[in-house]
Amino acid sequence: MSLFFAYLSVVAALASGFLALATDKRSELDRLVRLLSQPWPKLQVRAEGIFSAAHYAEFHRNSLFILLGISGVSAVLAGGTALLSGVVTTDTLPFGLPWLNWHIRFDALSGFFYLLIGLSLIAVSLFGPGYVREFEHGKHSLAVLGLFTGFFVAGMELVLLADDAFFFVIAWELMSLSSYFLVAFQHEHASNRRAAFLYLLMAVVGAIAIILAYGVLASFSGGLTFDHFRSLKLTPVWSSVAFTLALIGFGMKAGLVPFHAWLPEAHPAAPSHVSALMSGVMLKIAVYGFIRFTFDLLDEVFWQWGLLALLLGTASAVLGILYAMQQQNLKRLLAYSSVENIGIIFIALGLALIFFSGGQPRLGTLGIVAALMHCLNHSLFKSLLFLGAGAILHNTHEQSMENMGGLIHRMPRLSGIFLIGCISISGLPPFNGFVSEWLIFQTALQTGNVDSGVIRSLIPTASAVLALTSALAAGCFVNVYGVAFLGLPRSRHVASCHEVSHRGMLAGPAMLAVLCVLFGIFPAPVIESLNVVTGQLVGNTLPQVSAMGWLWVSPVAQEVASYSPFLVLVGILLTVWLCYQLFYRQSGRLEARRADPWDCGFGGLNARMQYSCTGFAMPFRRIFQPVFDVEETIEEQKSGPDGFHTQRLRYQLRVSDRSWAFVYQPVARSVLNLSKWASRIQTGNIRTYIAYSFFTLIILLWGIS
Amino acid sequence: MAETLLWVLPLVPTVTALLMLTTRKRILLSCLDIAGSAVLTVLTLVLACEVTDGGPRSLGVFRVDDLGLIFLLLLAVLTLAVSIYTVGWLKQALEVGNMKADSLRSYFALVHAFVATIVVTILADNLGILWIAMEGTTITSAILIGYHGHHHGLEAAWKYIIVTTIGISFGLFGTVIIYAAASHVMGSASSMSWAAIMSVAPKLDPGIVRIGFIFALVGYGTKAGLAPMHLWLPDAHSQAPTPVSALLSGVLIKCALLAIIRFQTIAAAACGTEFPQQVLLVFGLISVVVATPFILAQHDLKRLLGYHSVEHVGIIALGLGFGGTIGTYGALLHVVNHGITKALAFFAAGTAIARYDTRDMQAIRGLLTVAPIGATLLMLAALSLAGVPPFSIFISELMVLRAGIGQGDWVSITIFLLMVVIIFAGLLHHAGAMVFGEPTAAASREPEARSPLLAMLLLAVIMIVLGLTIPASFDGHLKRATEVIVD
Repeated sequence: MSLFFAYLSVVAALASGFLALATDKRSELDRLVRLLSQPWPKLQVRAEGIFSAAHYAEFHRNSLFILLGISGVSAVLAGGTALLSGVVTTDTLPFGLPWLNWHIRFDALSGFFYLLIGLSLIAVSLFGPGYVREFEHGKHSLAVLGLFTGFFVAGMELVLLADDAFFFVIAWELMSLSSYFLVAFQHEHASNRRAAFLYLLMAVVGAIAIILAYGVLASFSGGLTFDHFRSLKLTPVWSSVAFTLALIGFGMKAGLVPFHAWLPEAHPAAPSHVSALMSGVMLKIAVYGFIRFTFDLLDEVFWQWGLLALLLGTASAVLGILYAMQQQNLKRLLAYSSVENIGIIFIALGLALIFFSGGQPRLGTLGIVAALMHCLNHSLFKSLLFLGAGAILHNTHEQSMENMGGLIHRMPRLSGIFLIGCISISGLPPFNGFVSEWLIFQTALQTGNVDSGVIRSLIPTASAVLALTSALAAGCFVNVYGVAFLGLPRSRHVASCHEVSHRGMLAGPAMLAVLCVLFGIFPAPVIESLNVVTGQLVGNTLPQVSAMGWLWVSPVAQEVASYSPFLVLVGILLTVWLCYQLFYRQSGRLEARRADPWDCGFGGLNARMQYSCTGFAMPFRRIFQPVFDVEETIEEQKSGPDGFHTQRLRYQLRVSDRSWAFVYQPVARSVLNLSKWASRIQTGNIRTYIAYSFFTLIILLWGIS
Repeated sequence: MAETLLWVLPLVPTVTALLMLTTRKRILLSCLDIAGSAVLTVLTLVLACEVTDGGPRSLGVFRVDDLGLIFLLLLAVLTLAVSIYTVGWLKQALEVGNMKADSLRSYFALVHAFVATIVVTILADNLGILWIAMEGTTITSAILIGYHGHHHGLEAAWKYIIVTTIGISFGLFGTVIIYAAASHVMGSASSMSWAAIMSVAPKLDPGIVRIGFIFALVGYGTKAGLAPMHLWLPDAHSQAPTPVSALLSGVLIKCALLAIIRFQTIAAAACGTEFPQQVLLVFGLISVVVATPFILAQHDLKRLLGYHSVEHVGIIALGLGFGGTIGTYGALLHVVNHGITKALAFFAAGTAIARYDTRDMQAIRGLLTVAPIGATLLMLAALSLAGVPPFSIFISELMVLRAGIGQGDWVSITIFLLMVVIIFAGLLHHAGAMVFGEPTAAASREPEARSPLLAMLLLAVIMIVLGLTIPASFDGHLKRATEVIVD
């Protein structure tokens, strides 16, 4: 049953792609329908209504997303049934090599990630029809957008279904390739073309690492199906080689530092609903690949691997959020924050690896559960925030927060929804972000159970960094919300904008916001359903999660730590109510007084006097100076005697990623220089050509003699 | 029936070539062209069925087995595609003045004569005939390379003739050495026949065979474009008229590889599989490495594709060098995949070049806006050439890789993968820049011509289908051909 829905979801996604291609041709379709409906005049009238130029645009837009929505719903159904029933289904499809058909396997882990795709996809398909209106009269065809969005979703789902290395790689590349075209969709901007190229290049490097990782397994097991791999016993060295390759390959797609360079370029370049899918879902598919490879396919794990994942995760978390803070472009900021969250997920996975190798399967399981929870939560709030950013972009045509401000008065509903996303991503209770981060902290706090002293001392450091990250994330999103939504509008477009008119554009993010709240307040059922996943994956569960009733989450043991988000919510509400009673009731007798803010006597506060996001982030830029590649220029134009009066002041700031200067540019430059140098062998002189043949012959003959 | 086909097959393009000389009408010539190619394709398919049922056949100096059949199928499909493509291409070339109306019939006649020599090369069982036919391909194709008549083309044709003729004379020497070794064992009767030599190959003197193989490899390797004997190739492939480029890159270099494979099997039987595989491995690696810098620092679109052929010939050699069932199967599959994809790439590049009237990739911008279908096909071809799934080249490259992993040859694999990534970056950088962006002012905004699109779609469909699945009958041919080599 679950497999049926899983297939249905893939087919619907593919069909939505092809439908997009077909519906692009209005006049041809019109003719076809007229021809077909000739015998039924009633039908013909209806068809004429649809295919008239005025109505067709809306029909076309909706047609792009209806099947995607169906795909999303059936993905949720597939995931739900797989999680609830705990049944593993397998199948083979008649494609691929003659001796290696496509193997399909749908278990609870795949089901969980299916659920994650489905939820975001439903939101996206609600949001999409309104959002793509702006592309309608542009030079880009919606058909291309629809086609590749469908393929992209299908690719992600096929990755989850794949049960042999060959099919896995094909699905993986289908996902990368179709998202490449989505990143390059608005290709008239050179920056988008560059981003797309970089994205594809790094995707291929990652894919090659993945292929090699599977290659190592294949060379010892003699087969390419995952069943072969599962039954394989590898030596620790080869096993570590495979793990490292997989970490590089999947980490590159997930956006782990230092393989993250493509992410902040590519995610903002795509249309917002695609960014939501890329950031919210695609990165999780990479996490899925990593979990599948490490915990399912490799037979044994080592603590050194855990340490490596922990280090990369910690670095990603803290660097991701530090870079996020320095961004003015909202979508870029969100992309960097994805790097941070992926880092958090890998911290949890690293801890899980350490505990599993240390003979603490229950704690290891807790790590995996924490990572999965954070995957789910991040996919919800990151999709929400990207869709919100898309709605703002749609209405104001502004990407830079320095031009926003005061949106809360102009788009009150969206502001409320966006606020929920911001609180969730900051990891504040009682929303969902807190639950998973709390679980990760709980995992990290159990280091007392580890034998090695080095690890015992390293993990608290990692968790301290994690705490710092959470604090910085909160600061970062205070910045976002404060600058973009509060205060006065900083540009004309923003000043004159209004609430989104399309209902779906609010419904999509609102649905995610409801889920954020719901999973935040009632996490216990979700965590409990993950027992099926971990049971199938590592043969271990967390039986005591809801030992204290469904209100409480007690991941480790009843007496160690427990958290009841519902009671926290009640507490918060109670406090608010008490404060209201105490203070408002008392002051209610006084008359409320409204006055202009104090302006130092200069008079006339304007939008430019507000705290800008560059200004807000300045202290962090100073404190963490070595992390950034900062270029600051101040131009002053002075006048008067002795140049005393400053007439104009121009401040320019460029904060770029250090990884560019340290890793990427040197590599690119040296490859290009080397190839220029090597090009000299082709002289254009025919005598040299003949000499090459001749010497080759002589060397070979000398070699065999 | 099959024996009859063996002598009918080379006759078909020959007769077509002669018929071409009887008329000057463009439409009639194109019809003849397509008809001749279609007949060739149909007869090849019939032959394929016959061979599937009845095994290898021979007639005099001709012989057909599954190995040759794979190359023959590739040739037939590409010839058909080229014929379809030529209709639209020719119309445009005549308008611009790249081709002259009064010399059309000789062009068509030469193309079919070229095809006829390739057919003979593939079907030849006699190693002497193989060599003669190979020289025949040089002569016919050299005239075609210089057909446009400007000095770049003539220079390229001249270099092509000189370098390949000198190279292939080594091949003749290798043939003679093998003949000497064979006649020593079995007497002079039929000791030029590959099948006959194979039957006594284990008894041949390994020392002599080794020298013969080296000579043959360097000789035919020149023609195949293996580095470092490849230097004529980018010039020749880029200067030829586009349909001819597709045939040169798609089929001709593969036929030279077929000749190398014939000698490889003899050498493997006589002195063990190790020796020829090692040599091929080295040549393969050198080719892949040498092609890389030129792909990165390239401005000429067709030259880029030419260098890319060097890389892919290297990959085929690598597959043969890793050996084993998987490696050989992968190499043979790669022959077909690369042939199809490269022809598609040349076609798409040709239409782009015609549209912008330049081969400089920096002047071709925003193709997607002016020619959406052609641009999509160019992008698909580039992605496929770069080895991205779900296109066919990915599968064969993966098999070559799998064979290497099976051998545990991690050094070669590392070099190979490194180069694949760099080439990917270079190729996609160029392709992305050409396809996306705002079109330049020089771009012609005419609607896309039908027949080139039809030819390209035909190839693209084959490319994608082979990427998703390998049909059982084709798989049978490939498996039996692999057995011919590995055995």
